[in-house]
Parts: sequence; C-alpha cells; structure tokens
Amino acid sequence: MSITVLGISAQYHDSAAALVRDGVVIAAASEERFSRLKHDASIPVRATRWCLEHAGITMDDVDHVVFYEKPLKKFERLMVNQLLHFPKSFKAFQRSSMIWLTDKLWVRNNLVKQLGVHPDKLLWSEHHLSHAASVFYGSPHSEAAILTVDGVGEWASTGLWRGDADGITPLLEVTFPHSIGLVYSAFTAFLGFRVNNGEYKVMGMAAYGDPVFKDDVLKVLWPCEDGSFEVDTQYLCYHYSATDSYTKAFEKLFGVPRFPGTDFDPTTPEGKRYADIAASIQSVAEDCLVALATRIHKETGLDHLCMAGGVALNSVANTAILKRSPFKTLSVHPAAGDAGGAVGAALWVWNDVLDQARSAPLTTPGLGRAWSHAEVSELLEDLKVAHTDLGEDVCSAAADDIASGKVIGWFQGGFEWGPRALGHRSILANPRDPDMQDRVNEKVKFRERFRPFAPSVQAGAEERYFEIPDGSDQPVRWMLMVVPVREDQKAAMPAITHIDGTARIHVVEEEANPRYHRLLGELGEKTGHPIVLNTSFNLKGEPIVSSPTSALATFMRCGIDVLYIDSFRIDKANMRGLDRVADTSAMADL
Amino acid sequence: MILERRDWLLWAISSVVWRMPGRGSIKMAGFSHTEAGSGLDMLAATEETTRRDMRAKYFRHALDELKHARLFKKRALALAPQEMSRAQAMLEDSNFIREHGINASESLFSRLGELEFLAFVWIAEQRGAQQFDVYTDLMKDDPDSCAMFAEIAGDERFHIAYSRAELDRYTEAGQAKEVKEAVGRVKRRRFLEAWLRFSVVLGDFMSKLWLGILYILVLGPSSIFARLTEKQPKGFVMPVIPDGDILERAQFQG
Amino acid sequence: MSDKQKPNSMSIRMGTIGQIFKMLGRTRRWWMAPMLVILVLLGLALSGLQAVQYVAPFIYAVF
Repeated sequence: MSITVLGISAQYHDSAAALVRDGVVIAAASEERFSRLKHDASIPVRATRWCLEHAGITMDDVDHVVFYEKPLKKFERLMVNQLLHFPKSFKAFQRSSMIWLTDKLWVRNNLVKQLGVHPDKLLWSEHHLSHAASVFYGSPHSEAAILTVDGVGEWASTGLWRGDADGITPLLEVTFPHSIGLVYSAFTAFLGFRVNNGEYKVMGMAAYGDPVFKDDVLKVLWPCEDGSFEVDTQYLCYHYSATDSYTKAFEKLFGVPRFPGTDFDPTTPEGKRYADIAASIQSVAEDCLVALATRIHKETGLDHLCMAGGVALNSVANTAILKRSPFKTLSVHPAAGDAGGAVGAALWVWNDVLDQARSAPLTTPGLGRAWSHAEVSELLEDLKVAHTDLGEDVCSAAADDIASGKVIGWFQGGFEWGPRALGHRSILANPRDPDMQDRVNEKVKFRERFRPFAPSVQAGAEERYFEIPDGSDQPVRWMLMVVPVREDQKAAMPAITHIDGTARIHVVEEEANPRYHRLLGELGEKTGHPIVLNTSFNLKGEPIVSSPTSALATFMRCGIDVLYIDSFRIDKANMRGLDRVADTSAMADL
Repeated sequence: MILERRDWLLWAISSVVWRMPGRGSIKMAGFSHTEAGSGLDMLAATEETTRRDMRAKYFRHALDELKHARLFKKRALALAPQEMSRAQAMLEDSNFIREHGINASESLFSRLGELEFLAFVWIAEQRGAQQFDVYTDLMKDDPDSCAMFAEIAGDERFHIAYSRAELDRYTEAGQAKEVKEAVGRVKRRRFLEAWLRFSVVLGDFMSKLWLGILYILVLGPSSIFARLTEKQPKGFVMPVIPDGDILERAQFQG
Repeated sequence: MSDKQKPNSMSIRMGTIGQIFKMLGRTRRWWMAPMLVILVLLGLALSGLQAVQYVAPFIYAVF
C-alpha cells in the first residue's frame, strides 16, 4: 500500500507544497511560481493542486498532511517578546496581532478550508526540525550531524542535531533573540537592501571590502568559547519593532546607513566603507558558523555535516565551514529557506513519525511542473509566434547560439525546487566573452554591477576551471558553494569571476539534468569549453518563470535573443506582430 | 463638453487628491501594481481559456498591462521627491498586490468564466480610460505624464474594442441574454467590491483601535509578570522534548 | 470532499483554542491566560467582521 504525505509551508516567506510518496519526493513547488507573486507566502493552494494532479490523486487519497512548524509556539514567542519590551512594542503588537488573531492563529481552519483537507489528517512539525529533515533525508548519508541556522523559527534560531537510523535527535539550540540570520538581515537593511531578499547581495558586496570593522561587529554578534554565539540587543530592535531591525546605537557604531537604490561604487570612500562593513559581518558570521560546526563535530564525532535554514544559502560561508571545520563533507538543502520546510516536514513524517524505510536522496532539482511538447506547440501556434521544432538537435542549436554570443532563454522540463536556476528555467550565455556581464545586465537583468553571474559546468570538467574543495560534491551540484577560480582561468571568464577570484558554481551531472548536460557537452565540442553563464530566467522583482506563457511574456519584455522551450527555437529577430523588446534599458531607472 | 454626473464626481475628487503634494507619485505607484496585477490576470486567462482564438488577444493584452506597469513605475519614481519616498516603498512592496487585489487562490478568469471575464475587461477598461482622461486633464502641466497617459489610452482603446467585439460575437451567436446578464453582474459587483474595500479599511481602523486599547490595559499589567518570570537564555540551551509518543506530539500545534 | 464527517469551522477553532491553553500549561505560562482569552475573543470578533472573503479584482484607486 502506497503512503502519501503532503508537506506545506506557508504564512511567512515562500510558501510551498511537496508530495512524498513512499519516501520519494515526487513533486515540490513554491506557490510563487504559480501565483506569479514573488515570495508569495499565502497558503499554497495552487502548488498543492498541481502536486495532487501530478500524482494523479485527490486530497482524500493523501494519508497525512503536515505543516512545517508549530504556529502556536511561534505565537507564544511573539507575545512573550512583545510583553518583555512593553511599551516599545506597541506598533509591532498592533500590526502582528491583527494578522495573527484574524488569520495566522487559525491556520488549521485555513488549511481545512483552502486545501480541502480533513482536520484529523493534519500534523505539525517544528520549524528547525523541518529544515533538519529536508537536508538529512535528502542526502545519501545514513548518519550525519545537522546544523540549522536561520532568522528564527518558533523559539530557536539555531539547531544542532544528530541524524541517524533512529531519526533526527535534537542536541542543542540557540534561542531568539540571539540569531545569526536576524543580525545578518539587520546589516542587510543597513546596507540598503531588502531584508529576506538582499542578504546574498551583502555577501557579494563583502568581496570588495576588508573586515576592518570586525571589532565593531563583534560588539553586536560574537562567537563564544563553547561554540554558541551571543547578540547584544542594545544594537538591534527586530525583537520589538514593526519596521526596523537596528537601533540608533547601531548607527552610532557603523555610521550613516546606505540609501537603498543608490549606486554602489567600491572605489569611493563611502562605497569602500559599506563594502568593509559587509566584509566584517560576513567574517563574523563565518566565525560563528564555524564555531557551531566545530561544536557539533565534537558532540557527534561524525564526518558528514548537513545544513539548512536561510543562512545556509550563504554560499561563501559554506566554503568557510567546509574548510575550517573538522567535517569531511557538507550537504545543503537546495531550498534552504522556509519553502524547504515543506519537503522537510513531509520527509520527517515518513521517516520519523511513520518510522518507514529511509527515503531516497534528492538527485534532481526539476521537481516542479513541466509542460508537454504538444502543449507548447499548441501555445506557440495560438499566439502566432514564429518557431522551429529542432527535435533532437536542440542542444546543438543552443550551443551554436551561445557560442556565437547570443543570450538565450532555456526552458526545459519541470521548474526547479529552490531559488537557484539549475538549467530548467535559465538564461544562458557565453562566460568567456569579456563583455557578457554587461550585455546580460543590459539586455535582461539590470543587476547591480558588483554582482557577478554564476557558471554551470559539465561534471568532469569542473577541475579545469575551479579549485573544488574536498567534500563539496553536493553543494556544488546545487550552486550552494563559492569556490576559487583557477588562476589561469580568471582573466578568461570575467563575467562569472568575482572580484576576489571566486565563483558560485553549478556542476551538472547527467543524472540530474540530461538535456542540460548534453547542451554543455555540445558547447564543449564547439568551443572547447563545456561551461556556460547561467542566471535565473526572470526579470527583476518577478519570480522565476514557470509556464511557457510566463516564459514568453518575459522573453518579449527583455533583450534575450533566442528562446528555447522544449525542442522549439524562437528567434526574436524573426518575430512579427507582437512588439519586440531588444533590451531593458527602459528599465534603467527601476 | 458635458461630462456624465459620475465623471463630475470623479473629477472633483481627483482634483483634490492629485493636487496634494507628492500624491501623484504615490497614485502612480499604486497604478503600477494595479497594472501588474491585471497583467497577471491576463496571463492566467491566456493559460486557462479553452478558446484558442482568444489566447493571442489575452497575451497581447497582458504584455500591454505589464508595459503600463513599467511606465507607471518609471513615472512614479520620476515624480517622487528625492528621499526614500512612500512611492518607492510602495513599489518595493511585493505584498501590495495580494493585499489590494486578488485575495483568492483562483484566477479572475476561472472565477468568472470566459463570458463574464470579457464583460469585466470591457467595463474595467472603460472605467480606467475615463479615469485616465481626468488625470491627463489634471496633469496638463506635466507633458511627460500626459504623454504616458496618452500611450496607455491608445492601448486601452484596443482593449475596449476587442472585448466589445467578442461580446458582440456572443450576442450574434444567440447569447444576447447571457451577455446582458454578465454585464449587469459585473456592474453591480463593482458596488459590492467598493463596499468590501471600504469595509476592509474600516475593519483595519477598528482593529488598530481596539488592539491599541488592549495593549495598554491588558498587556501593560501582563508585561510585569513577563519581566518577573521570563528568563532569556544566552548561548546553548538543551531542547525540551515534550512527553508523549511522536505521533501524539505531531498532532499538537504548540 | 472527504467522506468522513468534517467538523465545522467553529469546532476547529475551539480545538485550536484548547491547544493554546494546553501549551501554556506545558510551558508554565499561566499568567498569559487572561490576556490571551481577551485577545482570542477579539480575534474571533474581528474574523467575524472579515468573514466575507475579500475577493475583488484590481482597480485604479480613486482616493
């Protein structure tokens, strides 16, 4: 008898649904991909509906539905903190209570009503436990140490666990308001970026600076002897403010905050100062994470470390952890943020609650919805979009386009699970073209100049271009680690090499993505280099494209030259009728 | 030119609203989100319609709306004062659409069905065009904004035309009654929706008021207990595993 | 929908309220009970006001 578990994450950031059948993740998707609203946090009705359709079942056939955290515990933490900080928490209370008392507290009702699930089927995981399960049960390791680090779950911001045949056992935790994630977010806000969105931009900015403010950062957040860390709350107000994360004392320490949207120029004294602050918080965060990893190694004595939680998306820190801690290997869940909790909660129910045989590891990112050849063909005809069906030659044709300097959209299979584009919904270009970073920025992304793009390289060829640390097999296959570019390759690939000579790489295995793997092979044959610049297929402020319609709508609004959907090739130059946009320069002010 | 009575009201309200300093920028930021939301509605229609002959029209309409969103965004930022403006904050707010528009898990198209959706498009585009006529008039000292409204108005003429043509096609095919009923439903619903929007604003205000009162009267005294009893531990703590077997614990929300 | 008899919305809410107080008992935060009773009652009242699921398409706001 087949057992199906549906995992749901919702209400905070990035809601998602995931379906696990007999321990295998057969479908997983973020709601934002369906609703087209970035970071959509509402109950994932559409994602759920698709997961069930994909599995050919109805909600009645699902054995268990599990929510990724304990909402009442979270509510308790919110209330206690608002009481402790009376009366400063007034505005936060008004805002959060309104939402909680009318909506979030009644999540059980909402799930029953909106998803059509019987209330008795509902189970409740815990926030950090869901993160831990997502990475451990998604890995091939039979036992591993698990570290979960994020802003905050119910009470804990950090969890240290042991995963083995007995399940996932909690060892230690650090509780709110002591939180690496929230402090990093406070610095993100200070440096002029959006919280829960711009953290990786801080990571990118850090490479331009030196940690000269480290001593000041250590007054805010510091690692302790026993591997834990502490936060001095006089500098922060995320625990009682509705809108701000840092206080006047913080500004006294670090100066004037960076105005959002202004140009970042590290050659100016002001720009350098911000880069130095970014470098300083990055360095302290790494120290804290390494201390945590070292402690958990001491507790467990195991060789493998698994990480999840929003902070695990800091790929630079992941490299530091692998390098500086005693662990031999590192695994990170691809949807390390809250969306991953949907997969984690479902896997936890299968493995721990139902005590079933160990589930299969995650091997492919394309867990989202796919469209058939016939569906795409019909759409292209109905929209009267000029196209050619290349059949088996699609990879060769795409490689030709990339080699000749074109920027292509690549839409294949089911969309990716997690925030990274891994060759299912990607924009691809030649990384060895010296102007490519500017061209992709100008045509499509309009990204801040200081942020490089990332490369995908065919498995087997990665050592030619990059210095791959031992034990990083998993994270480099999911674009979750930053590695040094080989000295002799740096000058040849400026578009994907960061100022400090590193790149956030994606190694493509045939098993994970056969068509993408073949495309890289073709590119390698034509140019000698099976490596491509890979950025996510979306415009700024929008979620990554999901359907052929959203792909076409994005294609029409930016300067991508050619779009490949399935085996169809659509050349912008041949399009008639609908307005063609050649670049995004009109978006320059945005 | 004699305006309809409704237009006079619109003109009167708008002339006050749009003359408030900085208001134009904020309004345009809101319109940018409106257009983006409509664009999503139209993309959903493209995907969900069973009428293959309509897909290209809905898609073209979607691209127009998304273009308008970009135009409004650009104009809003251009009109905004230099410092971190409210317009900028509104534009950055990715929750805006969900809070001000669709609050359902179904697209507008699937909720209304093809015929009523077309009726909605026809009426909404006309209403939008009316409003933009008024705003163009009010902003006649700002040629860039006028040019933008003119471009948008051009697109809207197409939207009004194609939706009307489709409704006429349904009428000619013998569905005149259904068309009339759909148009009526859309028109009536606009009043209900306006009331709903107003009641949400009123509800928010009432909630804030009551929560404010409770904060002082109830949380105040409770906060004394909290300060006396709560320990905020630093560093590592041992996680507490509650009693009961794992399934029992999993059934508990707290 | 399910062939099992589904409890109605109010009884599900009651279940949640019961769990809130069960949790307070476990974490020994009984002093929060009076405050939560009042807040939950307010929440139920406010949810009642917003009982009509607000579903309306996009408009260009006049105000």
